[in-house]
Amino acid sequence: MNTNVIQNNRKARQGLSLLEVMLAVVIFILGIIPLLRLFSEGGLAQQKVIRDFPVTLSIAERILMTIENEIDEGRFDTAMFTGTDGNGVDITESVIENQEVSMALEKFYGTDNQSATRFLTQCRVLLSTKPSSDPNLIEITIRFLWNDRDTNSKDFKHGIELHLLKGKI
Amino acid sequence: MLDMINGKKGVTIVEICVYAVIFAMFMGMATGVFFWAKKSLDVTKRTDDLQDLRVASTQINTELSYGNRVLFPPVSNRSFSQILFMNDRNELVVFFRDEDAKLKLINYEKFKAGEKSGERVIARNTIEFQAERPDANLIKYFVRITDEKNVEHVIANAVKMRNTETNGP
Repeated sequence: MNTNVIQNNRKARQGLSLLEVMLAVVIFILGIIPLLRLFSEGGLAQQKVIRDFPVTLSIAERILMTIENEIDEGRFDTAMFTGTDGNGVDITESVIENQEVSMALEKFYGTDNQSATRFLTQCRVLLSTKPSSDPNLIEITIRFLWNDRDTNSKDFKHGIELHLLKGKI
Repeated sequence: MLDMINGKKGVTIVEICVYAVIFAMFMGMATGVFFWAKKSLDVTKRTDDLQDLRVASTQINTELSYGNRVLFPPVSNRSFSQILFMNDRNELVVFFRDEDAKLKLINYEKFKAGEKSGERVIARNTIEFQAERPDANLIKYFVRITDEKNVEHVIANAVKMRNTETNGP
């Protein structure tokens, strides 16, 4: 008598089977994992750019300061870099010839026995000059373009641009 | 219990094994997410170190660019490990790496007067600090530091002296 009552109650209040629970868990995990990965990997890419930014900015500043000094010392002909196609003249090779810049890039791209020429595929420095609205000033532009260390694309994904207004000598 | 009493089957060992395998597979996928999260944390720490280094570089640039006179290093193509100069308030200031691997700025006048701002730590865990003065008004430098995991970071920058009229060789 008692057993029949219990059985009837159980049938009336039938819950979820283990299989159903497992299925729900699997569907939940299948949905949540790609979302979590999206946040983690997306955030990581952003962080890498933030990390690389101070290094590249410092190198670009260094180039610009050196050029400004060369102009003051009368050793730099701005006309050589004027009227280019808007992108500027590629000065990457002369920039990475410098030992300290090369070392900074080496730390930037990893230290596994690589020559400076390897950086040519990873970064590009473009220099251009143009007259400014003030006839006494000239505008010098440095564009530093770079790729992440694992990217082999020919198109550069990241870049910074520095401008300097310099009085004509 | 009642099902078993009634002769109904529970969960077989094969079913449990299948569930365990599925569970393990999804746990493996979930671990991947934690791996990315850990990597993201590491990159955050490195970003923090590099930003500190960038701040150090900005401090060096700010102090030096308006300096009145550089006393050391001399104009040459050799690298030296400290910069001694008179700042825009004509106070004697030195950048150097101390024995605790800290890159420090000491304002001698303030330091002598016992002022707290007389001694500032610019960067910690500094392996190397090199400065070169190729021209009277240009100082190129690089700072090399390590983080907790002994990963090296390098910032290479240059400072163009702005008070050129008073800044002799």
